[in-house]
Amino acid sequence: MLRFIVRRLLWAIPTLFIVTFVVYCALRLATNPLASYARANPRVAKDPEKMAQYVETNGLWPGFSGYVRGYFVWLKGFVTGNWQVSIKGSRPVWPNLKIALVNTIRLGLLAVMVSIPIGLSLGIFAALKPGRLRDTAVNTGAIIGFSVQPFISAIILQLFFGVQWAKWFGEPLLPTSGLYPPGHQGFDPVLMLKYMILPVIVVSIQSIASYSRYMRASLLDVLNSDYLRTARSKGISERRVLVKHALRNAMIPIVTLAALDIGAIVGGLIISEAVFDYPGMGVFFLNAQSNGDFPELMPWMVIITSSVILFNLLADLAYAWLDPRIRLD
Amino acid sequence: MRTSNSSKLAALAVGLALVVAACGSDSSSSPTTAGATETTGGTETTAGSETTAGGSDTTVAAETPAMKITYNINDKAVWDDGSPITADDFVCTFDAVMNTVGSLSTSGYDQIISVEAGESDHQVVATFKTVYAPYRGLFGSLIKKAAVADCNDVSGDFQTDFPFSNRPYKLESWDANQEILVPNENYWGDDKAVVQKVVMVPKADAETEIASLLSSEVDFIYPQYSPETADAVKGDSNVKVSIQFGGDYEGLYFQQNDGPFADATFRQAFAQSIDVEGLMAQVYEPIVAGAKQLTCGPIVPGRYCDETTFQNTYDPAAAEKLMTDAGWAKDGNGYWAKDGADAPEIRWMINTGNTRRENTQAFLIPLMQAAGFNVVADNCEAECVFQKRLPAMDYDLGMYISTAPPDPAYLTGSFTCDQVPSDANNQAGQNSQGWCNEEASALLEKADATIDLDERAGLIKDAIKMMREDWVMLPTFQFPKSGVYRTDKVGGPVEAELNNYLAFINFNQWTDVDGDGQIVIGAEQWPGCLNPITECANSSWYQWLISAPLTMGVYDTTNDGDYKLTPLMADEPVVEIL
Amino acid sequence: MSTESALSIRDLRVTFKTLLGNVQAVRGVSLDVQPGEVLGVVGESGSGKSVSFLAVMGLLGRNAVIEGSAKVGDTELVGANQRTLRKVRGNNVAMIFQDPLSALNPVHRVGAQVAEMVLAHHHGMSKDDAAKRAVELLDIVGIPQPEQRARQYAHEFSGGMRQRVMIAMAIANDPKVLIADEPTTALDVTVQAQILEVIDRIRKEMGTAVVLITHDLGVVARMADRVQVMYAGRVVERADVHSLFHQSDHPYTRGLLASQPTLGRERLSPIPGAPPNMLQPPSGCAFRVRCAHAAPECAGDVPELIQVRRTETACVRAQELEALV
Repeated sequence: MLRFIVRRLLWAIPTLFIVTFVVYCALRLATNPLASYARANPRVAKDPEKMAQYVETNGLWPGFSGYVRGYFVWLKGFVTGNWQVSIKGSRPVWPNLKIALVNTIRLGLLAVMVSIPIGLSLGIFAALKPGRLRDTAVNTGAIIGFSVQPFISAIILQLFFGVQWAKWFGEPLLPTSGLYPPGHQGFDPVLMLKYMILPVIVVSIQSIASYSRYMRASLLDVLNSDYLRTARSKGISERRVLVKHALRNAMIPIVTLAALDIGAIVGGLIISEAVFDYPGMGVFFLNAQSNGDFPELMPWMVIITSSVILFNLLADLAYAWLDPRIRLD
Repeated sequence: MRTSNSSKLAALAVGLALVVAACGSDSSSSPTTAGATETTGGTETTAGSETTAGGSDTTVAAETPAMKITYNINDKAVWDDGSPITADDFVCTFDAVMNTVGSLSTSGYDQIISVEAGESDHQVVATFKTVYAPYRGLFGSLIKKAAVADCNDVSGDFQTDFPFSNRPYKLESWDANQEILVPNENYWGDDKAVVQKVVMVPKADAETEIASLLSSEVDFIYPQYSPETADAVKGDSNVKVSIQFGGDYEGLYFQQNDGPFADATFRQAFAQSIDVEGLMAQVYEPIVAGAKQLTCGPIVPGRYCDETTFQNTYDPAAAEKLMTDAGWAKDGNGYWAKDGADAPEIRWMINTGNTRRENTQAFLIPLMQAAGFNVVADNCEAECVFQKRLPAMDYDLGMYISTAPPDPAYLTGSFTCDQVPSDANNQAGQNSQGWCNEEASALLEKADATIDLDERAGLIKDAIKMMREDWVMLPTFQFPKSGVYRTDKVGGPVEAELNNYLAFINFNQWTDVDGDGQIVIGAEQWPGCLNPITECANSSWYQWLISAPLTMGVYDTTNDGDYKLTPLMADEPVVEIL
Repeated sequence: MSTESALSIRDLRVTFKTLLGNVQAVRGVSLDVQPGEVLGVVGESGSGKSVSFLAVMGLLGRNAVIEGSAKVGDTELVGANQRTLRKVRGNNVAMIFQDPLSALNPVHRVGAQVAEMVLAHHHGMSKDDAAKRAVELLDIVGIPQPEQRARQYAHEFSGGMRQRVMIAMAIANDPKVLIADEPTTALDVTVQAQILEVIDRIRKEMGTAVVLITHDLGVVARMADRVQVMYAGRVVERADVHSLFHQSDHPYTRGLLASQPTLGRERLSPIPGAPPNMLQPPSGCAFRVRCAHAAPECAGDVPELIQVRRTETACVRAQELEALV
């Protein structure tokens, strides 16, 4: 097991190398950091000497070999903590990126904590009586929930709890944007939680739908399996059959799925965050992207990629841990 | 883009000080000026500041003083820490604008030979190498010398804080989510802060702004005007929409450097065949009830506007006669043609996705074709229109919004011969109509060197008359700005300054109606950073949220598009022509 | 039959309600198994042989309707509540299945699975004791190094060893009846013999009644005392094993025998045709559509089991056909 982890982590290094290099090239092509810099600093742009200096400092040479050399310049800076400063505002990137990351993780984890228990419960609830009304209800709900895009559910919820509620009762029931009310300063978990209710719901809707469907399918598979018949033939209680045999087995693919899902969170909430003005990775990305801010986009990409790679590893480990048939060596 | 162009020029020529320089160029990009949003889809445009203003760069050698301005600083004027505002701060501001790497336009400042203390440290003497009429735009805000490490390079300052204020409010905190202003206890003026806290919060777009206004999360928003805004808030009796007509104006432009409009007769006949009244009723009336044509040219009503200039341009009979007299005849398709050549095709360029302009094309193209002009829509994306084809004069007929700054110097940058894109100006000239009338150019340039306001206004009006005679453009509509606010949350003179180039600059006078201790203003574009000299300042919203509320200079703009002296000054600056 | 039967089934009927209609999988099966006896139940796939016993165990899905009677000792299982069924399952009646790999839970250690069976019916027993008992059981069924093997998972066992685990599990509570549903079908021939030996040893040592469900007449010949042949949800012939093999009177049984490979016979003769669709089984004798000796009267009443020579045969023409043998 340990050998496997070490080996996979070692593998992750070249993977990250390759991925970040590809991302580096793609981003440089897409954002053209030199042009962004020139746009942001018009007077510098007229000074070829200063522009050349910017190219040298940040490794923005043209051509494939220039990209390769530039990548290593970037990589060295990144690894040694000498990150390139943002194009817009010439600020260090990490402080803002860190805040965005923390905010997104908070939102994502809350959503996971809400959606997994609810989604799994619904899936179990449906699978226990396949074909019955409850099954149909859960399935229909899941299809609807799955097809409702976050920006649609967000707008509906905002209109209802914010605008419409304010019209009826004088003030909105739930805040519709931001992390705190305007003017609030400092950390206040209760207030923040209130502001996160709608974003969490919006992020959770699709997750709940997909978890319930996966859980239902997985549990039905197990419920129809031979070993479950064996378990029943033992004369143990139905409850024990379900918990010890059915759920344990049905959870194997779900845990894997959840791990991959969580790994995608840091980069996956862009739309929901934008609709709620939620200051997370998505909003960070959108801002950086609209400024063509290469030095901000690269670390963002590295974090997203690392998260996906790391959670892939965790998914494999979880799979092996839950299913003795899987061997890691 | 036109907007940014003119406003750039505005920035250049007017050079409303560092920040104001920013303001100029960014008014282009500001959401309130339709042009901005159109041009780059919400991203801020910086192009404006790069352009060389009407020949100002070329006068390097001339160091002979031509003009001197003496500013007397109010003895009571202090920074928020109580330290006095002195000539040193003016000198520092000048150094910062001129020498900080990556700063915005230096135009106006580059006409200054020196800025020095006068008889006392409360007197500033600025010596100019030319007579510079738009001087009121200079020193629109100040940088506090004691707050920066090196006045010659402030690019490393203002990373997380804007550490001083000489306005009623000072900055308490700023980050990506909100800006908080609290009263400056040391402010010496009469217009002290009324409310204990003013909060600015970013909103993604107009829809989000309106939703958060309706849910009482914010008290005031300043969106680009659209009839949809008014519709959206109709149900809430506590929300008020105030429409005012500011510096934004829209027009049709005839590119006459080449193509069919290079023929003056053809151009005039075409312009006289445009039914402007019909256009008002068809396109603008649905946007603003009672819409009236803007008749003073590429400028908004005020001191420099002669409202008769562009009246009654529609005269189809005259146009017909003009064409016939010049030997034009309609061909088999009913289009004017001459000398056996094909009827010229007129390429009408707008940015796709702009409903108003698409409606205009849909309305006018059939009419113009019926009048014998082979007009075809030749549209592309905003970026293509404003960044590529307009600067390259790759169109015949254009339509866009521009923003007129308080000082008319932008006309010099937009309509003089020097500014026709050519190799001489690296194809960066702003005169993308290609109109070159030496006499008019001379009038405009003279105007910029004429200190007397009435005399200057006369020169400007004369130049615009020539513009009409040469059929350079047809103004259509002064475009409204809108402030939308909750009457149950905020009161006082909320609507008093909505026309101002500095927008809601007077929020220090607003009152907190519901007593929650704060006023919340929704911002459509969030300033990415705080530095007033670097590119950070390149947006209207920077101007409105950061620089205008925190720093005061010599003049402020007024709601009717003029300048007024600020309490920073002891008396009106003395201008001497040497 | 004797009231001492370990398992006594009377007129058992199983119907599955499906979207296409009611599938009459079992249509009146009766049988008795005595302690220590091996009853072979033979038939093609879909003849209802497995379903009958799954029904007895209460292991069929919700869509199965079960009628008739099935008694273990004095306990009626048809229509019994879950509690009663649970007490019987694994305790009085235990079952082993065809494919031991899929029948064992892949994520539980085999020892734990056997111990679970022990604990299910010994509520006071500690987990440690149950685990020890599990190892004992694994030893009994001939698994070498049972202590280590108990800690392994099903996928780490060979097919034969897995089936031994299933048997160990089944005999954990000294059941009166052991139902072995095709216990050797998935195994190699040599392993088959070993498994059958284990089952036989258990029977002898514990006096367990064994129901051996199979389509393999060779297994029946080797193991069973008596045999019931099923076709289309009914018992068509019943006899002691020797009589069945040598004096069968039912054309289907004869067909089955003829289709079995036997040393010395040159050709196999499979029964033509396919088993009937149980949504709408043929009237009368269900086998008549495939029967070489079918006559118009076969379509009449459903033939009852009657004594013909030394077997009980459900064929209206049994008497006439006797002559053909």
